[in-house]
Amino acid sequence: MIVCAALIVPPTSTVYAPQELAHKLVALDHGNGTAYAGLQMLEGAVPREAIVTCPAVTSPAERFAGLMRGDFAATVVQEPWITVAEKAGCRLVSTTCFHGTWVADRSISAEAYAAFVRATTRAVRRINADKRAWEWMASWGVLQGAFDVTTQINRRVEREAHELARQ
Amino acid sequence: MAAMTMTIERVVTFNGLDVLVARDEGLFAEEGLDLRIAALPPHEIRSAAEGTLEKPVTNQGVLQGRGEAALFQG
Repeated sequence: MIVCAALIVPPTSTVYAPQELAHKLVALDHGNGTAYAGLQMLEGAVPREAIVTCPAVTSPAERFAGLMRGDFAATVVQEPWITVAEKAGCRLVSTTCFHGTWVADRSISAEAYAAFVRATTRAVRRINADKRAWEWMASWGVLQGAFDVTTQINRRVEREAHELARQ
Repeated sequence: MAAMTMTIERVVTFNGLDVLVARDEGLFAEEGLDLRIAALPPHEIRSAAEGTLEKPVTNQGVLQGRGEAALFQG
């Protein structure tokens, strides 16, 4: 899975290039891929001693809210929050891509992992063939934050989420 | 053929939609895979905001680390 990450600043920011983030507070969810992508983008633009970060939550929704409140100068988000940020007037001052990975332990057989990959590959093809069909699920994630797949998917909730996403 | 079983740590929609759709559409079952999803108990979930650059806090891999899941999205 290829993940796109963007360093974003709020609409009122005076920052237009990543170099201008020197000595400015950047919120990162340390220990996660998004944060490492953020560090790579910063390290490519400013000296290490000029990088100032603060720990932030994993939820991109909460980081986006913090950015808009002015809690920090910049943060890093992935899609679909890159699009949400752009629609809100935020600027992307740097973007990068990285491989999101699955980390397996030794108990997984090659056959089981192959079955997992085949199933998710088929799912990707279904999503790409009819993105509208799955819009409710993606929208639900955007609107409600982390969608716990252990939650029962209720068809009434599904319809409501779909309607909510269209408003 | 006996079904293969695999337990993964939970995923979230914005980077795990393929898993959600495969599960909802029965694609794992069609591949002979009994996919189970494990979640950390709420009281064990820690915020990344508790961590630092040098000592980050993450929930990823916690269940795998104690043998309750075999796969997680990094």
